[in-house]
Amino acid sequence: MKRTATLAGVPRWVAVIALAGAIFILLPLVAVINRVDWPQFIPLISSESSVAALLLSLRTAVASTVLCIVFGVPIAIVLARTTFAGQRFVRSLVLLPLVLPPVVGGIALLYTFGRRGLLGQTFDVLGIPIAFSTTAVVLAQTFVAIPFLILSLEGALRTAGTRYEAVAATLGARPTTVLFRVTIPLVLPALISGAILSFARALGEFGATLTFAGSLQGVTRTLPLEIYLRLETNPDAAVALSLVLVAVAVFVVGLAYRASAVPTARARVAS
Amino acid sequence: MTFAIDASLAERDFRVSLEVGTGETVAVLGPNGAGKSTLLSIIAGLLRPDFGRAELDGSLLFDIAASPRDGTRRRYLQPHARGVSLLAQDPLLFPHLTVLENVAFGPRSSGSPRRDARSAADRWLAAVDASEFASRHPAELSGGQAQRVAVARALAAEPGLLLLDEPMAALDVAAAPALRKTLKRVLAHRSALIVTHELLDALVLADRVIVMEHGRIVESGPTRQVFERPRTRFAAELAGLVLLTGVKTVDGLLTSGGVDIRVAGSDVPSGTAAAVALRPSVVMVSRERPRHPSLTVIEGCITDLEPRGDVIRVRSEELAADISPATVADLDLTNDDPVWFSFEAAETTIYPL
Repeated sequence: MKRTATLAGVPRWVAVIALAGAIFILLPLVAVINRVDWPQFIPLISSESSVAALLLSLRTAVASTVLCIVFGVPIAIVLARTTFAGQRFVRSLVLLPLVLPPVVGGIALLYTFGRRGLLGQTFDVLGIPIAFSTTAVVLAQTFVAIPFLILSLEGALRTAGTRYEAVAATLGARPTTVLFRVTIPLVLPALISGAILSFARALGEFGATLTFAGSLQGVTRTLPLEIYLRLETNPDAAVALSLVLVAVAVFVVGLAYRASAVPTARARVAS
Repeated sequence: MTFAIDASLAERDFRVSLEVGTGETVAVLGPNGAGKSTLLSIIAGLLRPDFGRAELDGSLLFDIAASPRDGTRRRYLQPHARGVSLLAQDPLLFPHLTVLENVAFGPRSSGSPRRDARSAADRWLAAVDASEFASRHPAELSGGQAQRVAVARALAAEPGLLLLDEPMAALDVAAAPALRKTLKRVLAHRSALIVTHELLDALVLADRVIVMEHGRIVESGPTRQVFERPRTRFAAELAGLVLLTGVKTVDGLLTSGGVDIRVAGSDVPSGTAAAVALRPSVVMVSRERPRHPSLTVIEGCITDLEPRGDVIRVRSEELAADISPATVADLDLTNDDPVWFSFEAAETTIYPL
């Protein structure tokens, strides 16, 4: 299907500014690609510490995405489907990590789960020291990534409305059955795109991780930390690894775009 | 008696007491905002009444005491446990399930094994002539087909009471008769409440009619009786009749507006509240006051002229007359014109209120 370019109703100057903005976003990417030392690319990204950092990043990002789904889905449902006193306040608190500087988030986590933190001793007694462990990386990533899933899902739940759920209930379905057979399938595209966004955010997490989890090779040093560290000693490696991160991010955003495009396709069939 | 409800909801000024017999279909009529959908929502459990009680086939749907101190009466069954299915204006088929899975949803939810649920769904799809759509997705159905599937889905849940909220309202003119026919077949011997704006739906589908206004039931009776001898303007309007109410006199009716109406002999005792119903086609309109002694004459201002088929309906505040376009032209009628409406005593029906 070939699309012809149309500028119907859009003032020319808007298109010009849009183009300038797009160039501003894309140019740094070109600069990185331009700076890559291609003959050395494979050796640069396959050093032991690089591979360890990449694997740790993927592992922790997957784990925190799972945590985002486990806790984020119920939060989104409660926010979208119930009314209680102070709901607006709770919503803005839940979305706080979105606007909080990650370093501040890391400090907050440190004073919560750190050895001297609010819950640190509890976890210590249980034999789970959290600060400066891989667990800390996962917690930091979940903290900064969960608002993306909640926002995306809550919006979709509100748009979907409760009419299908009401019908399902009058057909004899219990609330849990309604949730799994009607509510979640209806918002599945939003859930998937929200989860992918969370994954991408977790993958790129830097500030909170460094503050709360430190930078220990193979344990807490994720790819962004590795890149930052290499920038001092081996800029070529830093650039090569940056490109890897960009590639993963582009791939993930592509997936998210495809997932959120699914309902549009379905709606087109209906009309 | 299958179903009985007595419920109040102050927020919507709603207070209704109603019974539906076993196998009886009751049509709920009334202007917009009369509380018809509120009634269905309360029965289905989607809206909680302030107080009241409802029972279906011997099981208690809710029982909420009027006074909060009376703590012993407090029971409220969730929608899924009520055995009440709701069919709305929109089919609301689950878009992610096939037609067959949609219909099997009810049986599956009540714990039937997959195979039994499937065969029940097959059976109900056949009952509404929709078997050929079984493997399609809802997006591939027309409005009429989707609503037929929705009927099958509601029935497959084996409800003790079926609620239909204007099931034909969203359909185009061509699809409505087919669905009406399907509903007539599946509603026979089934307890159901159907909200409708159509006289035809009530006549074809319902054994009994209730009319609601301002959150109250203002009229109730067997379908034919309500439409032949309406007691409210709404029912009269729907039946295409003019309704005049007042007090029975020796040889007629004295309306609340002070007009004396002559009627043919009747056995309604004098001094009691009564109503006269007449068809607009028997009412005549003239510029001069008619002198014939057998005519009842009422003066009125024209409020509306509405073409209806080959006649024009001339309305005043309390009367309506169907006259030919030629007569309208001869009399040069327009809105706000004062005219005389007249009709023969023999054309009236008088009955007690």
